[in-house]
Amino acid sequence: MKKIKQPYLLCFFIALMLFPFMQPINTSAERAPLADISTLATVSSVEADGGFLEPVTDWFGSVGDSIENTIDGVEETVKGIVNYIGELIGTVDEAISSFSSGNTYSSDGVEEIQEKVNQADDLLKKIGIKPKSGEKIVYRVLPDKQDISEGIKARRPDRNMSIAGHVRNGSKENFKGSQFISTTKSFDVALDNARYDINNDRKPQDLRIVRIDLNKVTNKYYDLTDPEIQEKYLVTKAGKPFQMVRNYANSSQEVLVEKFIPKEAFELIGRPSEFMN
Amino acid sequence: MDQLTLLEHFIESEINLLVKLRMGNGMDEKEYENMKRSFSLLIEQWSDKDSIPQDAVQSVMEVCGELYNFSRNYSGEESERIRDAAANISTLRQKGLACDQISDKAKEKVMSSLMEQMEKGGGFFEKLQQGKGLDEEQFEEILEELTTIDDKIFFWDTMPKPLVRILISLYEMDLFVYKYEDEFQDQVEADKIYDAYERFFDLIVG
Repeated sequence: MKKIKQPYLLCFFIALMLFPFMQPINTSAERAPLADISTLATVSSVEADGGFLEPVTDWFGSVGDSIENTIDGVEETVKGIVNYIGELIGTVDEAISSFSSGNTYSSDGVEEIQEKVNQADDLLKKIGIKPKSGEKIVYRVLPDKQDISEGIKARRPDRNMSIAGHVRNGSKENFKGSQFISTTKSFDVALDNARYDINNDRKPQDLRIVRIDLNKVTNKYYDLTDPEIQEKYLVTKAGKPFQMVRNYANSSQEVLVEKFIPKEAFELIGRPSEFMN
Repeated sequence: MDQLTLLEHFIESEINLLVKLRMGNGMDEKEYENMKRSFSLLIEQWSDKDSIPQDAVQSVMEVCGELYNFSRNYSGEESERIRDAAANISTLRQKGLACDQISDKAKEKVMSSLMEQMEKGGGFFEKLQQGKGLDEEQFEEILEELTTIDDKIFFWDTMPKPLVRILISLYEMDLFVYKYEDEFQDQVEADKIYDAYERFFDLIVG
């Protein structure tokens, strides 16, 4: 009986462990380029996840409690740093394979995964990016010349550029700036952009990252991964999804803030060379 | 394979390719080959028609400009590979859109004024190409005309090929910025062109 149940237990456990790693909106939007497919997939996947998690966690009962507690504690943070944790634990795929390939996965696997999650959690605490309760955190990589002593200013606050225009043109060499300030919900994206110049052949660099609490941002901001925001701002003239721009925004987990971020709303994390060592 | 499936494949591979380039992950050859294959088949299907499906217009319009722009974010062979990809798709696209006839007289009527504006004074883009700079007055007229008809043309089921070609030229106007900066060393004109491009871009966004 125990042997029969073990694979099921394992499957549910993996699903539970991977839940925080899933970003259904992003994934579905990237895989479904056409308008109607994307919208449907997004809605259905979110609903399915919500319905799926509940019975699984109930079913696990006391066995899963300790794992759940760990996950609850890191869930918010992990959402934004999925790949980074992947790196820390030797990629998520490796974690899954090490978990599923062994025959003694029941207790050893749990301990191993718990240990790795704890390691990641410790590192997040160490570098000071673990969100406190109620915080809505995004990150921004600062160009070396940018002075943030008075806050973070948009390059061209006087412009009246469309949101889609900013996303489409922001990574181009000849971009002249806009009234928006780009930030990302993903620490992994911020870290990558801080370490490598993705607009210049991924040349190594070491730029500062700031951690911004959107609750303290006084101007309007737009979470471009939010399907409602996408429906409103990332559409073509014909009212259809502007899929290329949506996928750009999804891949970089982009949140745009209008014109200015007050200094009270952010704290400097530092350069990767400072907190990675 | 039917047109809708091909179109889905084309758009999906196009977007996957572009997203990877934008994230600094380089040229995904597999996605590029998928995109080229599906686009070639689409071009074949469109060869005896004078218009293309509206659902294809956005991707057809954006793909080469995006590729070229991203090629500038890379160097050496990687940059060349992306630029070659842009050139190959552009050649395919030219072949697929080479048709001056418009069988739908109602659509022709809607477009006629815009086409006249484009051709005025020796051609808006011809002048730009020759280094004569942005004809601001002509651009304003073109934009005004587009604003007048955009609630019609973007809602047609199919768009005549000559109109698609005009939209492509306007969408790729930002590539002239490099030409004016690098070749003509004229930053003032380059900035004007960039501003004009942004205004056009905002017009095609909902």
